[in-house]
Amino acid sequence: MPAHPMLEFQVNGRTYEVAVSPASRLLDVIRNHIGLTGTKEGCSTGQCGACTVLLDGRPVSSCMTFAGDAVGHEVTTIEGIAPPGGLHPLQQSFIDYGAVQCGFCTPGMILSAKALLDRNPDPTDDDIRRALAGNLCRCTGYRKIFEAISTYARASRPRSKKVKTR
Amino acid sequence: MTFTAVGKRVPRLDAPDRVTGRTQFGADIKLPNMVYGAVVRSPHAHARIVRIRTDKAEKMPGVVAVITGKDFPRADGEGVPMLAREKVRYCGEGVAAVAAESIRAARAAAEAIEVEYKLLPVVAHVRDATKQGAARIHAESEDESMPNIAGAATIKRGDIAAGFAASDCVLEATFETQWVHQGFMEPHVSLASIDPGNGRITIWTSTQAQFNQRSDLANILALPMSRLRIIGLPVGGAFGGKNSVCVEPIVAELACRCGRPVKLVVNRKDDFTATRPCGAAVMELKAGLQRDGTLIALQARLLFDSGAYRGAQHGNGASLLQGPYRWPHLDITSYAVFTNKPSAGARRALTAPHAHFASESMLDMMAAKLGIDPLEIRLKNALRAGDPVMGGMKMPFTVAAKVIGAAADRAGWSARSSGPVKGTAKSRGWGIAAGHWGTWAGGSSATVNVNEDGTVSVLTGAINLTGTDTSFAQIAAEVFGIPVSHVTVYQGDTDTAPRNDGSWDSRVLFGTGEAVRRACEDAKRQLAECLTEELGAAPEQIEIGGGFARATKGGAKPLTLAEAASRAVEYRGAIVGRAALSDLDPPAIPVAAQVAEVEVDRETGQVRVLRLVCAQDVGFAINPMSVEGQIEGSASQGVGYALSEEYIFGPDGCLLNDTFRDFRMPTARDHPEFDVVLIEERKDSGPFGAKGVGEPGLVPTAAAIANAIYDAVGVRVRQLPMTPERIVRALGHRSKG
Repeated sequence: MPAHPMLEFQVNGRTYEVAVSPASRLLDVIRNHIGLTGTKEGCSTGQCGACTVLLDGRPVSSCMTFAGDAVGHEVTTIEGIAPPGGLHPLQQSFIDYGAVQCGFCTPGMILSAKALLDRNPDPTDDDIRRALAGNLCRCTGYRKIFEAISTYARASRPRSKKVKTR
Repeated sequence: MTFTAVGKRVPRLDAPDRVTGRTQFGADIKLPNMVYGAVVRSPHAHARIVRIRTDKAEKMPGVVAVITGKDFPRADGEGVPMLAREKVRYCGEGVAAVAAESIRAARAAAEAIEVEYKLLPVVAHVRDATKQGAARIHAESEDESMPNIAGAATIKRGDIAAGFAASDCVLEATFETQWVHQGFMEPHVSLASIDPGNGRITIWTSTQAQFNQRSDLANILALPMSRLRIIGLPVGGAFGGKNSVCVEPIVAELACRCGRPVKLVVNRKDDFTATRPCGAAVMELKAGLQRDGTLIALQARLLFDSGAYRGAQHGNGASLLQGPYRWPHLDITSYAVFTNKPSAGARRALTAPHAHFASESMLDMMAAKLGIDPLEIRLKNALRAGDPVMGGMKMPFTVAAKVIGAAADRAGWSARSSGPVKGTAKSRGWGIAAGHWGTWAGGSSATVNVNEDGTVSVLTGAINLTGTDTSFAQIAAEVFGIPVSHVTVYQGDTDTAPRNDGSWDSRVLFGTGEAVRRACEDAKRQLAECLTEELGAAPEQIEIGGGFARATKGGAKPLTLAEAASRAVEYRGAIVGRAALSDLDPPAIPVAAQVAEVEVDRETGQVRVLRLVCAQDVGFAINPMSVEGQIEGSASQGVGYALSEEYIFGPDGCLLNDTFRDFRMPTARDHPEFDVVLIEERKDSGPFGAKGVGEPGLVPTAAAIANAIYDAVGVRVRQLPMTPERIVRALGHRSKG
């Protein structure tokens, strides 16, 4: 086996040095080398969205991303959005609204939703549908996922209608 | 009666693990010293295997085991070989498998296995398969007058000739449905390891039915069940697609060969072809009715495509074709037909969606012909208690008309408006359809441990596909009168849990849920027996609930459940409630009715489902949020079945669209507005009057959408999926006609 170069990855705010071919899949680096298995592999061809991670805050299919292309960029996986043992409020919203059934698509779905809300805290219904269009879910019919995201977005809108007292 | 735990919207107890990615699916598991499996698959749909050369592969670096069909003298219960022997019957069928140190080495070795084939004529369609002179896929046929018959079933009631003679209106039509994948997001995955000390094989697998896996594997591998341990893993969706054995025997055999743990994740392409998708059907119907809309006679010839082996559910299709309606005269013949397609398997509600697409479309055609409202014809003929249903059974309750009426009311059927949308090429339409399904409790069991602090642990062998474990916790909490958070539910494996038939047929909550309830009652009885001295009362005078044990007579001070449990455990060593059952009477026959509102683009043929009102008889919703999720998920699957999902085979019988790009399942952009109406009569024999809910929601969807398309643009599409192309073609025919 040819020796692979040591590549440096920034994942969830930590630096990992991995001896891997730059032509490897980012998905394999995350799952097999770093050992974060919350990122799922559903189709291996970038069509189901289960392997979605954030690259500098933008959702990408990690099965279609070269490891080398992730070097020098911040990778966020589902393990990186909440404090250890805790939940991101979007995750809590998925739980509360029954938006998770089998849970295989859920990490990717949540990351796609988070990417949307980070750049657009006040999305329209159509914005949400578009943002999720690359993440297939077979269990829920999407309505409860949609409800979880839109409810969370409304609740966490930066300028809420609450009257502020000074 | 007021409830404290059941009937509440409780989030799935395992949801925190699933939203954080902590849930360990099969692909996430690494075993020490593990090797990886790969399967060699046939590129031909029908061919004789002349020779398999494995010597080159065996000598490749990293290869530790190679097996072929010769290593599996026995097939599974439906005659499906684990690796093909002598001939291949579909494109994608496994012919050999390897295990190697890395996935890459395993794939390279698989490619190095040389298989020489002699091609045979391909039988691609059920109609061709049954013609005289068609190539035979198996030596035997279940019907001597036709080749390639995998099975036949008939349902007869009344006198069909007299029925047609008494009918004012007789209509004939043929309907076709397509091959589809169940669409689960997690591909099949299994791991196996062998204990060299005692020769036991442990298999970790994404399955709906671990005990059935054990009995199938015992047969296939010719081992006693005691040598096998099956550990059902968290399942990333199944919908019937993970009922049967898949690669479990292959990983087991490879592990035995090399003495090391073997892992095999099926790739998505292979998952489309080689893991028992849902077969197509051709359904020829002839129906007679009276001028007032009373249904009289239904005759049908159904051909269910079983693909390469014997997996089509033709009997189920025949027994469900009547829909939730009274038909005095039935004459239905149903065949499962071998073709050189994948080996057909189960899909949510088996062949009910096929059958109801035909019969519910037919019902609308008859209503149109007689000028009767589609709702009226359904209400008029809806099944009542005691009516014959599902072959030889009786409908237990009069509920069908209520469900149908509820869907129509919620949708606003009487005030509906359809037709062209001004200023566009679009037309809107409304359609209604109903469906029914049958759920049997089957082998269901549970044990319940009462801990000495008054908390409770429930153990079952049912696979927690849909959140049933959460419902079990609610049931236990209700019976003991404790918070849901005081209940733990554990899914055991075939070594640790009592036997369970598995998670299919919407049966888990119905059967195992009732077993959990009974096991809790059993544990309560045992508790009471231990408290007679403390409470100065006979066991039957001791009431346990609301967190206390108290005597109904006498003035003894009540004990908290914790005090009671602690004393009982001390006295008896353990309080273990148990229940097992093989049947519940009556079985659940849920009825679902849906109203679809669609918008059809008359130029492009594009259909958008705007709204889908889903009414369903659920008996009692133990967890309404979870029940809604099941119904919405079913109906969404139905939207895909109706409009876009379809296996497209080439003339060589090979699947052309084995990716999610080309096999088009609904996305977040396609989901309609769902409106779920739960009908709860609390009369069923499941826990607290509950019945199965997981499948009925898919049964009427395609027909409701077909009927809405007809209402919108006046064309009747008799073939699924109703793609833009088919709709445009149908519109073209109409304008020419």
